Amino acid sequence: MNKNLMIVIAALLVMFGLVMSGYNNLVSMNENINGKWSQIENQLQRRNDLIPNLVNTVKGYATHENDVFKAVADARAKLGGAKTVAEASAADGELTSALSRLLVVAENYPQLKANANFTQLQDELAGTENRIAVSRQDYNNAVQEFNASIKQFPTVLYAGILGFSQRDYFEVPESAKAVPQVQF
Amino acid sequence: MIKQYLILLLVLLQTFFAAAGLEAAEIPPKPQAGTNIYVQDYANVIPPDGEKVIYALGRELDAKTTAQVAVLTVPTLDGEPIESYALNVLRSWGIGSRDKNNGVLILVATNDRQSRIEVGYGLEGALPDGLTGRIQDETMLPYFREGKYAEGIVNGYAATAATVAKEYNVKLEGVNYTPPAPKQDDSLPLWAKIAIGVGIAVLLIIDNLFFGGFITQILILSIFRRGGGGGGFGGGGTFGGGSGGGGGSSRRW
Repeated sequence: MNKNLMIVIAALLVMFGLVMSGYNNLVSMNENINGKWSQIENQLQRRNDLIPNLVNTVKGYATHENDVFKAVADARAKLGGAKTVAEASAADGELTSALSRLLVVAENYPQLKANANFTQLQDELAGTENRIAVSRQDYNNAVQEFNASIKQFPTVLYAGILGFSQRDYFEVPESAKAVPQVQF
Repeated sequence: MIKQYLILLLVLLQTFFAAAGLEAAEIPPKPQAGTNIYVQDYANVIPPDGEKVIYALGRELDAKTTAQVAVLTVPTLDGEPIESYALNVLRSWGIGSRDKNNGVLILVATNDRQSRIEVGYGLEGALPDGLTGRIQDETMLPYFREGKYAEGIVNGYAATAATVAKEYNVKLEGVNYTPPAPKQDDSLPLWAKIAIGVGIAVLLIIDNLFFGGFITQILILSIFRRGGGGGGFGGGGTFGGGSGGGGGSSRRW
C-alpha cells in the first residue's frame, strides 16, 4: 500500500515536471510570436510613414492620377484601423497593390523617374516591402512552430486547459499577389 | 522483426526531415574560418589583386569595428528572387557579429545582371535603403554595364566599407572614398582657409616660444606612429553569426 502510494506520488511529480517545462516552452514560443508580430507592425508603420513623401513626390509630376492617390490613401487608412491579424493582412495586401499601381503610374513620367529623390523613396519603399515580407515569413514560422507544438502529444493534453490556443497566420491575400497591369 | 520495423521507420523519418529542410535555391557554403571570408567569387570575375584589396579593407573594418562586409558573386540565382537569396546567405553565413548584427552582403549575379546590397539589422541606420541604391547606381552599375565586374565590385565595396566605417567614427587607411552626399559645395571659402593657416602658424609660434615646440613634436610623433601600423593581418577571421531582416536594395542592369 505504502509502496503503491509512493509510486503514484513519484509519477505525479514526474508529470508535473513535464507539464511545467512544456508550459514554459509554450510561453516562450508564444512570446516569440508576439515579438515577431511587433516586427511586422514596425515595418508596416515605417511604410505608412514613407507614403506621404512618396505620394507628394509623384503628385509633383503626375497631377492627374487622382484614382491612384485615393486608392493609396484609402488603403493606408484601413491599415491604420486594423484590429486583428486577418484585417491587418487584408489591408496590407490592398496597400501593397495600391502602391505598386502608383509606381507603375510613375513609369509614365520620365522626369519623375529621373528624380533622385524619387529613386531614393522607391528604394526605401522596396526595402520596407521586403522587410515586411521577411518579418511576415519569420512570424509565420514562429506561429507554425507554436501551432504544431500545441497539437502534438503530450502538449495537446494540457495546452487547452492552460489557455493556449492556435495563433493566426499572417497570410498574403490573393489581391496582393497580382502583378499590376501597365496601361498604355 | 521489431528491429527491421525500427530501421524502416528511421529511414522514413530521415527522408521526411530531408524533404522538410529543402531550401528554395542552393546557396554557396559558408566560407571557412581563416580564409578570405570577405570575398567569395563563384562567378570568377575578380582577379587576385582585386580580392586582395577587398580583403585588406574588409579585414581592417572587421578589426576596427567588428562590422563585416562580404562579397558574393554567382553566375545565376537559379530563378530565385535576389532579395530572398541575399537574406538567406546573410543569415546562414552569419555575416556580422551575433549581438550587433552588423553585417553587409554585396551580391552580384553576373548572368542574371542583378545586384543587391543586403544590410543586417544593426547597420540599417548607417546604410539606409536609399543610400545602398545610390552606392550601386554611382559606384557599381556604370562598370557592370560595361562588363567590368571587378572594378564595379571593388569600387562598391570600398564605398560600402567607408560608409560603415564612418558610422563607427573610424577611417579606413585603404580607401579615400567619401560616400555620396547631397550635392553642395562644402569646401571653405578662401578667406577661411587663409584664416586657418594663419591660426595654425600662430599656434606653432606660441608653442615654440612657450613650450619649446613640445606640442608640435607630440603631434608629429602621433601621426608617424599611426602611419607605421597596419602590417600583418593574421588569419582571415570568421563570420560572427549576425542576422538581418531584409534591408537594402536591388538593381538590374
